[in-house]
Amino acid sequence: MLAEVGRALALIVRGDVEVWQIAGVSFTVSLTAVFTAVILGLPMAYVLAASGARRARVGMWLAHSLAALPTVVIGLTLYMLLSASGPLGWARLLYTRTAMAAAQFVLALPLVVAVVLGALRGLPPSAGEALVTHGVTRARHMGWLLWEVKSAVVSGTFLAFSRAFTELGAALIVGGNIRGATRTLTTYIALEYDRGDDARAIALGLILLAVALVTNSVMHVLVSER
Amino acid sequence: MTDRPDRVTRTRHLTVGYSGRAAATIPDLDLIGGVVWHVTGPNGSGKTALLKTLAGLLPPIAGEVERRCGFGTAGAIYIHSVPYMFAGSVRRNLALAQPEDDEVRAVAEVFGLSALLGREATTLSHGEQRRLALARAVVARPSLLFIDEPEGGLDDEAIQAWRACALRAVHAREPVLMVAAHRPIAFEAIPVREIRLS
Repeated sequence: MLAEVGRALALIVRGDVEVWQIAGVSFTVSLTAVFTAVILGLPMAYVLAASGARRARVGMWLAHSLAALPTVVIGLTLYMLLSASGPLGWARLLYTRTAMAAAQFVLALPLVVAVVLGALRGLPPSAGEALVTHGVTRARHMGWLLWEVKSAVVSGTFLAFSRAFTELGAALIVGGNIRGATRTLTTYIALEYDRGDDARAIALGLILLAVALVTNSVMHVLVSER
Repeated sequence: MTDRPDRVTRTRHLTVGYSGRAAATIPDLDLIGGVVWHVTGPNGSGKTALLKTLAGLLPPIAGEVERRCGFGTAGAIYIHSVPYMFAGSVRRNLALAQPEDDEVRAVAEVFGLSALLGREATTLSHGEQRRLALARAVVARPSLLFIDEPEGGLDDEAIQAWRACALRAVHAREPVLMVAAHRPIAFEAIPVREIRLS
């Protein structure tokens, strides 16, 4: 076991090209998905929060429900949509990084919306009313309120990244684990484990673990500073 | 008595309240500047609902409010009984209605906030937060200013400070000022018109 961990560390330190190329694919796909989820999720959370208590409650329920969806179900749904015989088959996106990013976007969006919407609903009504009564425009109104819940924006973003970066089911189904193209840390760990190459699986697992720890530590520092 | 047309506010057969439930029926009003309108009455008598309705933050339950201005600059501003302080500095809060920098500095000077411009607004004392809320509203040069329970929780010194600020605003006949308060309020040389809700 120790010998395998030693081999794994050697692979990382030596700069094994394949290991770092796979890590690069993981980062590219997950960052694309989370960036898109944040860009769309923040206005969605704001609109839901501003649309009245009942709609905000329904939005919250929906976001929580979608956030709890199993990743394989999301992968399977996207597979059916993107496969040659599916309604989006013409786009030829199956087994591409775009398809993987789309799957991770579906995972990330409800998390961003749920966390930010929850925080916006927690603000006292006087916050929104103070903006309205001082003549703050709609666009600035959103900016001011999101700034009030910036800790939640940071938490939602990092939680979404963690979920997207570490998921396996959807990436495997719509990505196909193609070497040099759609192979990510999680899909490669599963493959190497099946093959019995424990050192490589451990090396990739260590990178995954390090990313998760660093991500959560950065989030903790950013949130506790506010 | 005539008043500037942009800040004319009249009410006719007005009933105010929340979520369709009436809290108070208001005698017909013609709000003019140069006086302090003092809304008084026990808890739950509809003082806050009246101020919010006149400021445009609440729809009337029944009747009409004729108001010829919008919100914010040159419009109507309502200050809550517990004003909300936005994250960031006092300067950021004063810039809510996007005034010029020199206007921010000038209003900070008048309200005794110059030394606090860089301070985090949420860390100010209760009295300082009230002064900041008043300064944040005044710097927008509203036509109508509605202040809810401005003296709640303030010591005598802070009450005198805010009254001095309000006095300067009323002397200039800018803006029309309406205050909801339990206690009687008195200003030297400024008439106070009382609207009693029961």
